[in-house]
Amino acid sequence: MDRMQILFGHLSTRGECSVPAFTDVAGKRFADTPDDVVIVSALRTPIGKAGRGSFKDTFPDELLAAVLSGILKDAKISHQQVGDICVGCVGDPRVALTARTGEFFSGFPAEVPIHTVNRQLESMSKYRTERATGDINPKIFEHEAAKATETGLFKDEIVPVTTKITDKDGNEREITVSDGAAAVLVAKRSEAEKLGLPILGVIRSYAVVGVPPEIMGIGPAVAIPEALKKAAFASQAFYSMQKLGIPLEKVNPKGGAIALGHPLGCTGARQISTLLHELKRRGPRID
Amino acid sequence: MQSFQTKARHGYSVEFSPYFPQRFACAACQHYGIAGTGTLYVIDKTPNGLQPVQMYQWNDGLFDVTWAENNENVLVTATGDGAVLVWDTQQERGPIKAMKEHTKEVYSVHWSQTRNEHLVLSGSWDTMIKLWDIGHNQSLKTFRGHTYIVYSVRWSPHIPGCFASASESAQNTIQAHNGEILTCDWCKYDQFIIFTGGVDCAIRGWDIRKPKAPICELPGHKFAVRRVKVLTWDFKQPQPLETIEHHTEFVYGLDFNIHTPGEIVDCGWDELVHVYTPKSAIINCSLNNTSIITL
Repeated sequence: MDRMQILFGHLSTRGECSVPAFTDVAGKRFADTPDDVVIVSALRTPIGKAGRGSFKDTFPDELLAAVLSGILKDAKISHQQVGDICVGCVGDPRVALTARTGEFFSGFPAEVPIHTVNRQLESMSKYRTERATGDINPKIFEHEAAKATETGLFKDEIVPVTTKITDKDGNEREITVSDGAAAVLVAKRSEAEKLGLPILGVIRSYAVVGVPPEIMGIGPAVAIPEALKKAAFASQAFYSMQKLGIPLEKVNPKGGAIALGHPLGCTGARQISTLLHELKRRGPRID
Repeated sequence: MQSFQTKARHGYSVEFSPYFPQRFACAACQHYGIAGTGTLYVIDKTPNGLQPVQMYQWNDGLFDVTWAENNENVLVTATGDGAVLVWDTQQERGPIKAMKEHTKEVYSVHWSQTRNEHLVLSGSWDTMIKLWDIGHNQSLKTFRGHTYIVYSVRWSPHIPGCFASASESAQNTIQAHNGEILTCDWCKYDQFIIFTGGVDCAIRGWDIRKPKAPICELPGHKFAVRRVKVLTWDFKQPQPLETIEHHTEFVYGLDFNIHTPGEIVDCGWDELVHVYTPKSAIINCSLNNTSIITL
């Protein structure tokens, strides 16, 4: 949008006495309140190719159980302290059952409720037309993801899953729909502080925006400005949007969904896991 | 200091009334002016705080406001949809006139400051500056000198019919800043002196008779300088004496009260309008805070 670009342009240079982009003044934009919803743990399993990768013989409830157990262990809280569980799963026709059994596998008592959500990324039929432009990027991102794996950048966010594999991977390379699971544990700030849990992030705003199936993949470009409007935080909005337009090294530094794959229904939680652990490693302010 | 919250509206411009010492107007936009509607506030300073006298809505953002010098109730605003709007504070609803000639956002409006002429200038993102008499339906003249967005137009307070405008790296014929120039204003005490503020975070003073080099430079801002207004000036002192950081977001609007010496109103993207009196006299306004440079 024209206005947005012009206004970004005004912020492209800083004065000589410049300080880091977000001063304490900006940092105080959101007052922390006891009712804030904070993220206290975010973990994921390794991700394998769909149907023929490392998890081809692993049931989704086993993956779910692994991450659910993982976040409880990570946050050092008991099963009984969890109020509700929400599971996203697009590919599984019996997702409600899968979720409940996964919950039981990880040791939750029957009293802890669980529900599932299912929001479709209807894209597969149209994807092939995009292949020509899409071909270059996956290589870059795969390289980043491989590098990140080698240097152990993912170690904090991954819950190991023990499983058996009965055959080798297929060779066919298509869009990476993947097998994997991720979980994010949220709590009210007051509760997190009471229990002494680490505050990895704060949910300041969110937005859900539908886009036409044929242009799937651009959802964030529509939803992020919407969420930021709700967040009413101009500096942050500019910062993020500037980022959206630009330096490649800042976008998915550890590889994104193209390289890591895209376990349907799980990617939101997977992104949170990757993002928060990377931010923690780099050490900027999370607000 | 008195404050007023422009709820869900992000302040772009403020101006004190030339008639009522307690009154000022604030032009504000939804969503930081990037999208959405605009609101014009007419606010009175009262013993019980800042009280809105009128609040008008418009379908697009309102970026600038200027009071008429010949009628205490009339205001003119610059609008995101390209219209120059005329408002009457005695009327409850809507603008009394919408003059639509600019094809892009109008970012600046200014009512002439010298006696005997009552003309309005508008500067637009369509690169044009237009001259208006609000009694007429069409503009009197269009100035096409700029090749880029015009961010600011200001009448000279001394020379009738003379105005300055700010755009990308050129201001009349002054090559003033690296990058875009976002604001300019005239010195009230010297008819040849003009000040500019730009994306390069600097404020510079110029003598229009010798435009090759600035007569002074005022560093101190961390972000682009959005609006500069001049009251008095000592360019021997290049450091800010006082920095006011009572806004948590970019400060966009700033004005002096001509009735109450030293009183200032400002507005910003943190949805707040503040009226206050700092110790000092020269003010400039940056995107992230207000700094004061004084004698």
